[in-house]
Amino acid sequence: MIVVDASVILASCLPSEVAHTSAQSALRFWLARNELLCAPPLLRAELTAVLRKLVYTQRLEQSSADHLLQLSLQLPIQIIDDTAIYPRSLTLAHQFGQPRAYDTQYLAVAELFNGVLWTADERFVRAVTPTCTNVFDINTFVVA
Amino acid sequence: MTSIEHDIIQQFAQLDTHTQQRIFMQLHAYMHTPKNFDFDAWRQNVNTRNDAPCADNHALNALRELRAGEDDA
Repeated sequence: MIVVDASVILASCLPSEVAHTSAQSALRFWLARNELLCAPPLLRAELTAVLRKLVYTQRLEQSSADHLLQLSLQLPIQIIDDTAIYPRSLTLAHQFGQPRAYDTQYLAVAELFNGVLWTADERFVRAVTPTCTNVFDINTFVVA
Repeated sequence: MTSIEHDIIQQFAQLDTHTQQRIFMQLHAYMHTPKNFDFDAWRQNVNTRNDAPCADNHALNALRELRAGEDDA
């Protein structure tokens, strides 16, 4: 199971993101192999919130945000709605000194289902490694 | 039912409820994932309808701000 952080989906949709090419390459590779792509329920809320912020700060047209949100929701990513995610994400946030328990919800899904987490946020990768060996920076993705 | 299917169900029945739920959730996810998603068509759609200006990582920064509770919008 591959858990994809919202940052990976946003990067795949927006050419202005540094991880744009890597994110698209990774998604294409995983989908060609019929890998199971998953995320916590938070994913959809974060995609919506960030696209709104980009419109509000005049970095994206409203019509483009509408379109990109629709496209991002079309990706075959399964939302894992397991209540076990939340207490575990709280523990992980405490363990890694994270002020909020958002990124750690993705990490909790990866951990609960023995999967790997890919993110475009290298700060988060640095914060949880080497303790977590299942978290990777999408900018380092190389097609095998 | 084949003997393999029988064995799987027998072993599944011996697991604790939470493990059964986790396995079931994963199987459910597999079953509901559309196969042969046309990623190239999706990507083309993304790339042709994108007017984001050339500014690095605005979305990642917005996501970080959101997650840090520093969203001042």
